[in-house]
Amino acid sequence: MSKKKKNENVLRVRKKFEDLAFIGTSGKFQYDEPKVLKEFTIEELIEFKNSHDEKTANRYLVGEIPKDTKKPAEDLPKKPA
Amino acid sequence: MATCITGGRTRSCSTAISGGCNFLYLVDYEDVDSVTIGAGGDATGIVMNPISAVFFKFQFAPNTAVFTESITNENCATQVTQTFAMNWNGRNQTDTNSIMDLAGCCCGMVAIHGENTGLSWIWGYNETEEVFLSTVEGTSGTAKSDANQEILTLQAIATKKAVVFTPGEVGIPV
Repeated sequence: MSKKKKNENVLRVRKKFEDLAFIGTSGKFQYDEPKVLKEFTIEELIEFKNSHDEKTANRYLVGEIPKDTKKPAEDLPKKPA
Repeated sequence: MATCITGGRTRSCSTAISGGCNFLYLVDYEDVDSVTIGAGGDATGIVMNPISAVFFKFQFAPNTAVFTESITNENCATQVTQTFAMNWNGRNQTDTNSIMDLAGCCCGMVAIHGENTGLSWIWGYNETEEVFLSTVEGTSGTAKSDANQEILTLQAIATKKAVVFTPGEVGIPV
C-alpha cells in the first residue's frame, strides 16, 4: 500500500500538457525537433526540472524526483587510485 | 528586507559588439503555450500549442534592422518599451499582404530576433506584453536614387527585458 502511494508521486508531466511538445535545450539534452512531453523519460524529466526555473518546471511537471535516482557516472565520486 | 543586489558585473573584453540584427521570426501569441525559462533566466526553449504551430521568418534589407529597448522606472514601476524596425525594399503585393496580415494580428505575436553579436533574443511571450505591428511607412521615394521601401516597426510594452534565446536560430520551430 505504502509502495503504491510512493509511486503515485513520482515526477511526471501534468495531464493537461502531456500532448504538447518541447523544442530547445534542457540541461544536457538538446531537442532540435519538437518532442512530445509525455514521451520524456524519467531522466529527461529530471533534467528538465533541474535546469529550469521553478515556475517553468512546476507548470509542466508534478511530483518528486525519485529518491533512488542514480547520479550520472561522471558525477559519482571516483575511487582513489 | 529582501536583498536586491546579489552580484556585481565583470567587464568582458572578448564579447562581440557588432551592431544590427540579422533575422526575425514571428508567431501568433496564441500558438505559444509558454517559453521555458532556465535557471539562469535565459529562455531554453518553447512549448508550442498546437504542436504543429511554427514561427515564420521575415527577411529584411541588410543593415536596416534595429532592436531598441528602453526602460522607465519611476517609483519602481518598471516599463520596458521594445521596438524592432526594419526595411523591406521594393514595394510589392506580397509584402502588402504580409503587412496587412501583421496588422490584423490583434492578439499579438511572439518575436525572436538575432543580433550581430551572435545572440538571439525572445520577447512578447508574456500575456499583455505581446508584440504588435505599430507603424508602417511605405514610400515610393522621389528621385530615382531614393529607396522604394516599406519601413515596419514592431512594438511591445512589457515589464521585463527580452531574454536570450539559448538554442539560437536552429532551435526555433519552423
